[in-house]
Amino acid sequence: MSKPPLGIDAPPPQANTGMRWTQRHPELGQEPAPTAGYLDPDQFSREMDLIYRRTWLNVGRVEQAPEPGNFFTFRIPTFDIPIIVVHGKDGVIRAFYNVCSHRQFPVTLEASGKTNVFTCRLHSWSYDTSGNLVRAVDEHRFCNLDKAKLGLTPIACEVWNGFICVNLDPTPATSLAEHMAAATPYTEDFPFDEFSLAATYAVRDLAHWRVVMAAQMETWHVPHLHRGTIARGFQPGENFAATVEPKSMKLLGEHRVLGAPGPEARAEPLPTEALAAKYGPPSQLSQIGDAAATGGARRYKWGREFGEVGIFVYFPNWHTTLFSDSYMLFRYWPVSPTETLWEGQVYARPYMPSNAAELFALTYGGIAGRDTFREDAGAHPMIQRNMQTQAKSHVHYHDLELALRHLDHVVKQRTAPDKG
Amino acid sequence: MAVFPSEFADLDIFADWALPTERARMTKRVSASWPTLVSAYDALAPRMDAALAYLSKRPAFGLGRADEDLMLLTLSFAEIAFAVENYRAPDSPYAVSPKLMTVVNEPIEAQLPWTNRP
Repeated sequence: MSKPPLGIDAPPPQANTGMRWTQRHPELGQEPAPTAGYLDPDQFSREMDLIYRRTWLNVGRVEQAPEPGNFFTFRIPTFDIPIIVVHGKDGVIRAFYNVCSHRQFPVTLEASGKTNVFTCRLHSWSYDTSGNLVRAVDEHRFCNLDKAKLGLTPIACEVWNGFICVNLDPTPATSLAEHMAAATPYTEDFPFDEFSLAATYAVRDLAHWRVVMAAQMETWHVPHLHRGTIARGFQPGENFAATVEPKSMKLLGEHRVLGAPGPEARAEPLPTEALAAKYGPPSQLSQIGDAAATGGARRYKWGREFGEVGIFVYFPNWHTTLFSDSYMLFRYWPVSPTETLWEGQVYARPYMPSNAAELFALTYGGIAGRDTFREDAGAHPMIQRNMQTQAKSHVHYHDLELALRHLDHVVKQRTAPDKG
Repeated sequence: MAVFPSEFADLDIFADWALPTERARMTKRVSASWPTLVSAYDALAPRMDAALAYLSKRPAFGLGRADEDLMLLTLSFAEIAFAVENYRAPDSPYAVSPKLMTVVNEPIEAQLPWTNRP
């Protein structure tokens, strides 16, 4: 028998039996998980101070600032911090507070653009793309102005696989490369840079950030909650292991990956599915189905090791779901103990429709994914409100919900009493 | 109000579905009553193959107003059909309200002029 490839947690002989995943990680425990931590405002503050203020947060992709001079702005919802991410003339991507050194007006009001200088609209102080103060209007009428010290306030900013991340700690404990190291080998050959943004969803999700993230860390709910959307081809309860049992689940330091199977047997096409297929470019429709049908994911290292759909959940605020020829990017921005801004983006091969009927096919093809997002975003507040009743003090994790146990564990470690 | 190409004048009663953004179409679909959706589906479904055949001979960009309205009607049909065929209801029972959500369908919306319609 050949040796399992790097990274595979070789499955036991029979799937869908016992605690095959949980048994491998005794460090995570096997007890029901208390929900008190989701309800306690002090715990939420600790999570924000000790995690969101001190670790690397994804804020975007390099395609949003592709050339020197390109920039985009963004308010980090968790802290209401306005940032500029700018591709400098020297090629370096940096982040700054969008705050002028003079009277603290924003130095740009644009959502994105291309510029050589940011000129504050209040009194026209100007900054270059490296953040240096290049012009202080009426400099001679200020007392002891030291322009060299009055550049834009930097925010630590590094790039991993084209994902731009910032760290609000002025002296980050680790580099982004170190933070991502345990997950890095598995996606090194995935061509993130060949895809472009195809759709964006964002929702005010009225739930704790870990409630929001939980649904994206287990595939078990898919044939149940999403039976009308992406799981139309699944039958809950039948052929369970083949439809939702991850082929692999691996803890990667503070991150984790689930390798999910694609749908094994697709249902007969619905009338309008057939109509869309008739007029649409097939490659743009139903990436999940394509992955399963063609085994296309196996051209990449993660696909060979983890399965047709690779769900990489990166600590603390983002995850990517990789398909055979596209991917999705999600970000989680806690706003309060009971509210999270949840963003989802679809990245696909750049494609412009060649005729007006293809617009119909492309639009129809996007609805299942969008409404799946809406179903999750509608389910989270139902869980949150029920937790707040304290009718139940714990949740119970299925073997396939190991990743939820792992996130609880990482948060507990990061917010332990000795952590400040 | 939308006016469709003369071959599709029979669809004029659905002119209020010719909406320029995905968000608007989704909102109209989830807000519609079930009988309204079913009657729209029953009337539109038999005409969509002809409408799409007509649109497939025309460019995605720079359509005249009547053709563009017909195209937008097909995009609303995508919403209507998804609800009727998948949910047998205007919406999934737990889907979040469009009011709490933003949607941008980038290649179709961000780069094309009709989303700037008043």
